Amino acid sequence: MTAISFRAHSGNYYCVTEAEFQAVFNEHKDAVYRFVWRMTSSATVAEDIAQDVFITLLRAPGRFDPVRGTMRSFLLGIARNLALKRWRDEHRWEELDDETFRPDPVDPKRGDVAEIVGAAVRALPPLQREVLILAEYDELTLEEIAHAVESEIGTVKSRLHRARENLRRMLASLGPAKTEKGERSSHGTIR
Amino acid sequence: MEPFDEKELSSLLQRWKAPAAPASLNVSTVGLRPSRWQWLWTGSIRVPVPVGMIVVFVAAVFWIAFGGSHPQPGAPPVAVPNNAATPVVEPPVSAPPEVAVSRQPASPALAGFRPVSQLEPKIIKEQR
Repeated sequence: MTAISFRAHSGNYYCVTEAEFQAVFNEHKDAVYRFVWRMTSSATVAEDIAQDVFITLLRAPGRFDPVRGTMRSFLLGIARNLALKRWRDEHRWEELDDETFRPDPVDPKRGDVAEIVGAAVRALPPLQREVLILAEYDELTLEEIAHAVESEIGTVKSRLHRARENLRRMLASLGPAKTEKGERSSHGTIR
Repeated sequence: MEPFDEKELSSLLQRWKAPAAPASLNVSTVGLRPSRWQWLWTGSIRVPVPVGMIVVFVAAVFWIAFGGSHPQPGAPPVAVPNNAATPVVEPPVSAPPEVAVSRQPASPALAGFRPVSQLEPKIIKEQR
């Protein structure tokens, strides 16, 4: 059985088996896939990158250091790097973190509330989008996000703040009351 | 339009659902690590630059010392006799002093050579 080594707390290496790797894969594959799907809005790209993330883990397991963060934040960090690399290849001349980004409110008649929210998140600059997704959907702590995106906690806070402000601006037309109304119309009940 | 507070914004964001990973996403650990024989064809090793330079230098020295007697590029091909594989040169045992062997290449001596127009053989009788 192939052995995969992960770094232990003491700095030594210990081994996990294929079965243990499969357990890591089964535990985190959905989180990794969903993160990339939200970042790229492409199922094909999400699958490709998620696969690359686990192959990276398999080929270089020593890169994971439990002292620095959890396995989940480590895998999401790899996914984030691969997604950003792809984004840079496709948007060579655009800013990753555009501080001057001032979006317009979205049209509430554009579609379903979920679609509008998705479009608003996807409209954020990549560095704002990734911290928002990691905070809101993956529920990582600020420290874990900082580890995943290889930035300072203060930088993460700042990006998260700008992302939320931009989303408030974009989704203002939905408003709390309108959200409830939209939910009632789509599901028939108010949550 | 009422502004969102943190909770309202978070609950609104949760409305956007992402699909779970498809079944086709399956990292099979079998075959990801190449076998040793496969590594011989596809593997790679990292060589530090100083080590690489030393290896290249030593290879160059060996080539100059033992493999540098090749013909220069651009030189005309030299006809090699069939027995060139065994280049054993035996010095003449008793070379007659009056016979001078021309070591000059044949090609300059034949530069002005022309065949005779009419062959006139003369028979010289041997005098006894």
